[in-house]
Amino acid sequence: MESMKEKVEKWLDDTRMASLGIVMASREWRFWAVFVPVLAIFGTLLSLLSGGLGAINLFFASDFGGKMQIIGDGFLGFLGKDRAVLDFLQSLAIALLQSLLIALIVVVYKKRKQSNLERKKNEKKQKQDEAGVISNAGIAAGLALLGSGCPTCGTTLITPIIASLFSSSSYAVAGTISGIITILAILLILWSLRRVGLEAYAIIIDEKWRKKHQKITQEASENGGK
Amino acid sequence: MKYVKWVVLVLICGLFFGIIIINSNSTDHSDKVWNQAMTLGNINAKNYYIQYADLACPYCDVFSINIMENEEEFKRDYIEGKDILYEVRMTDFLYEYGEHRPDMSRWGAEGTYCASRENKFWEYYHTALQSLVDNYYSKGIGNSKSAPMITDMTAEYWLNIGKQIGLSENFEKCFINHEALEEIQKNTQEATKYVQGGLPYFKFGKFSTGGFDTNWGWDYVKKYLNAGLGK
Repeated sequence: MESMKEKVEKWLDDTRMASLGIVMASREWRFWAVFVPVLAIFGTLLSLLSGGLGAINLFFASDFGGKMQIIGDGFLGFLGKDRAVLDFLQSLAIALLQSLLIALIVVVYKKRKQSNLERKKNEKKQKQDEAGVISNAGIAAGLALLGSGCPTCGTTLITPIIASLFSSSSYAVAGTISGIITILAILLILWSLRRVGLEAYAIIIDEKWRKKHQKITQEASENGGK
Repeated sequence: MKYVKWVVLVLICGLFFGIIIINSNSTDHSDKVWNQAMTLGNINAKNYYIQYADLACPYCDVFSINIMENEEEFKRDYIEGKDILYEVRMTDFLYEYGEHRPDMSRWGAEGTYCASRENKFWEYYHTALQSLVDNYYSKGIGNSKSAPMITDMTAEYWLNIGKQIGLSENFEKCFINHEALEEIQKNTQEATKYVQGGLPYFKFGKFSTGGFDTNWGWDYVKKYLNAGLGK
């Protein structure tokens, strides 16, 4: 049976490998092709929801030019324009983690598709893993958005839900619930990142070895032919 | 004789439609207004705009500060230009239902209601907003969800605002004896029917929404006002 120390060491080792996996995946063009737009979209959405549902309702009430201005200002707000530093850092951290996770999922999915052999071996388990990680990413995104808004004034997105389910006295707990939801979203993203990062590490290392093996075999067969 | 019948018929029809048109334009809002001292514009205005607010809510304050800083344009282009009756429905919502139950929410509401009894709501409201900007918001205190909270607020602060604008002793008496409290509590209770998503909440004509972003300026206030006009 594994001792506590061994368990911690294994956990740290896996986390190290997952971090390496993320770094290696970030060398792929596909990673950035997903990361940048997801960061922009998710960050803009978080920025738009930071003052409650005002931006969304205004968006639907505006003409095309107005809609574009709202989106543009939401994006600038995400970049920190006229935003309090802590508000900016909080939404930036959540958007970065979320886009990192989605970009990593896409890279791992594509790499899996390429390595047909391994896919056939463990097809069922991999499909379950994929579905699990994708749903986690979706849940985390939903939680992060629900937690956004201004808890001070009760304009978090969670407030109307709580108020409709319970009584108006539940406004008092909306801020706490919003905080818990945001922390849960971050933890879920970190947990998913570790899982997908570990997988990215295994796939990329495996891919490297197979390429190396292929090269050596090819060279050997060429030398043997001579 | 034949023509006379037609003329009478046209006159009756004209009178009938005239009454309908006159009645449809007669939009007396006095039965809907909570407190007439907290309104701007004609009571019979074509458009009726309501803002639910709390002085302890920085997002409500940002909206009102933008209006205050552009008061001339607001009155010219919207109150008069677009025939709007604008009402601020002041509440102590955050004191009653908020997580931290800030005293300034109740003091602010009591201050505005007591000032409105002397028909000086707008002077009091605008002076209070300017004081909050000068003493706290401009220093990054209490102006956003992650900013440090206002912790040194006293009842004296709200009494002093009354003194600044020259309110009578009746204001002080009203504030200290909580004479407006019952009315505030009743109104805040009433407000919870509408402000499901928290404050600020706006009912501008057909456009209703909660929330306003602290990094928005006057151009966004105009967007809200125009949305109420269906623009």
